[in-house]
Amino acid sequence: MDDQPAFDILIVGSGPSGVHAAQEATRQGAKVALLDIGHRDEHFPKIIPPLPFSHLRASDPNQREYFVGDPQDALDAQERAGAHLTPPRKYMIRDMESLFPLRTTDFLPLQSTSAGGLGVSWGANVFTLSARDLAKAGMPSDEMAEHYKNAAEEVGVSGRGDDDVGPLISSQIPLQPPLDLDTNARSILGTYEKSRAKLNRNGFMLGQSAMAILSQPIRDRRANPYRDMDFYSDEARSVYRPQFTLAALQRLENFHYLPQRLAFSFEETADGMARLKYKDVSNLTEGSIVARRLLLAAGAINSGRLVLQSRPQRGARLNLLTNSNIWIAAINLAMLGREARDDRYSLAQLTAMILPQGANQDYTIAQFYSYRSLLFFRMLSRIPLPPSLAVLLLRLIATSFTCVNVHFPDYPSKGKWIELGEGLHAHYEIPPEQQKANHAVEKTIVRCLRTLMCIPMGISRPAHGASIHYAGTLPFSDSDQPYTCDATGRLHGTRSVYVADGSTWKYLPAQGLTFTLMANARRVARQAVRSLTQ
Amino acid sequence: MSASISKSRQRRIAAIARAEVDPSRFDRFEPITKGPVVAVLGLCALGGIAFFYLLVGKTIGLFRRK
Repeated sequence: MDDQPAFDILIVGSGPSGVHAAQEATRQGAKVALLDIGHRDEHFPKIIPPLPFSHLRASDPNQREYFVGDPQDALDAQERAGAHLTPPRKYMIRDMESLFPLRTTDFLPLQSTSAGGLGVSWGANVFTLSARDLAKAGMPSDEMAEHYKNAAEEVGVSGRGDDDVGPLISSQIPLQPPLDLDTNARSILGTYEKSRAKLNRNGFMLGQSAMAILSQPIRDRRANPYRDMDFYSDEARSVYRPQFTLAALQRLENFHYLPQRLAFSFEETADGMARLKYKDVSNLTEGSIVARRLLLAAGAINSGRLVLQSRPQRGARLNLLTNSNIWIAAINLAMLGREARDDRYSLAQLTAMILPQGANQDYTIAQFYSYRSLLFFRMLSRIPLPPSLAVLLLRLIATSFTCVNVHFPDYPSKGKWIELGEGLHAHYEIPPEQQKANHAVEKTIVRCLRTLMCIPMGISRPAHGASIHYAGTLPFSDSDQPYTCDATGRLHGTRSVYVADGSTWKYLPAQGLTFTLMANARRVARQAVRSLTQ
Repeated sequence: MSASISKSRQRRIAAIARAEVDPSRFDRFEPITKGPVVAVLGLCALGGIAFFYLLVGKTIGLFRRK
């Protein structure tokens, strides 16, 4: 077998971590290859007209195909991963069960097979972690500042940064002007202003979400057209998707994209190179690539799987972290019977950070969505009324209907793991004390929602893994234990293998991880390139 | 969804999903915003119906899995 390296850096995975690692490595002058399955969708962009949601609803005879698809599939997908997995986004997990089999009864993750990874349906909320949170997760805050900034320049971030949730976004991040809020969000924010002192005493702070959505054009992307179609299309490329960066990388001479390849193991050669073995999913042949450094960015579950398959040890178990999340359906009384403006973007409008007194010092995060473009039918299974009556109820409360998505932080514990047996096996069980703490915060949030005149009508508790936030399988460690990484992201026990995704995090904060994944991947990529000359 | 509600209810929801994206029935799914009083009254009426439905429904086992 030829041991001559074909590339300086070989990256596995084209999600938020993979493409940002690739961009940083190419900027450092390295010859980079990126390998993934790379499913794409060419169909939906052709059939969704570039028109507002309300216009399409009233006139497009083909709307069923992209708004609903098969109703049963739509409802099943919602149970598994929330409502983000609309028909035009479903290609993201095509062949998931066959390519990434997982034995589990209590953990239902999504594993992406698409170009862009799980970033294809990213909710676009941008958070930077405080020095305390970064240290707790294992990342050096002094190095991260520059990479956060570089990630922001690629992604484009709009937001305020000077309101009560200002601490959730670093002042060093270049911000575009905030997006226009919809009528319901403005109403909630107005109520918040009146009750701020009381809510703040309960540790509840509310403000406008920082979003990876453009309010001003950059490069070949335009400002959000406020057509409320962000769950279905990437029109104007206003909401950032990793595949935009991948497309830009493909225009570079020192970047090589290798799609349709499923990585299954790696080994190190005698002279310290990494050889990655893969299966070509188009013809099922096997092959290998030698590179000077290998960067794993396949997501916490699949990077963990790859390491277990490559360096098996009897009885080895890897930690597993995921944010527990709940959805609270609420009615904003201040909006009952009022009309709402038609032009809006679809994703989170407001963010609350909750730190009740006496609780642990880690934030819980709640995001406020005004429910409209996901249609009524998705709510019917949750309303204990005959469906036709439930539709009438939803029409009455439509403009005041608010969905609050709450994410809780997560910590390693004995009952959360993946292991390799006959295939990959996952188990996820929250310890009672963590459950109790989450429940206490949940009660505080419900109380604060009432103060905001948002009356909770019901709480939905999706399966573990439905938050689509995964981390912790190959954590940072100062000691040279197997299945851990050093501070640069290098896998202990190897010379040439680095982990550039959320696998390395020792703790998973409630603040959405995606933007920090991008910044950390850039940091690890730079360290990997530097190591080439050391 | 399939694990928690009956097949007949699933079929009714699927039928509504198809109707909701039929442009000719667009008006039947538009928000009703005829002023706060109408909305609040409607809400109270629906709340009453929901309460009654739950009470009766639970008694006769309407939500039992089939």
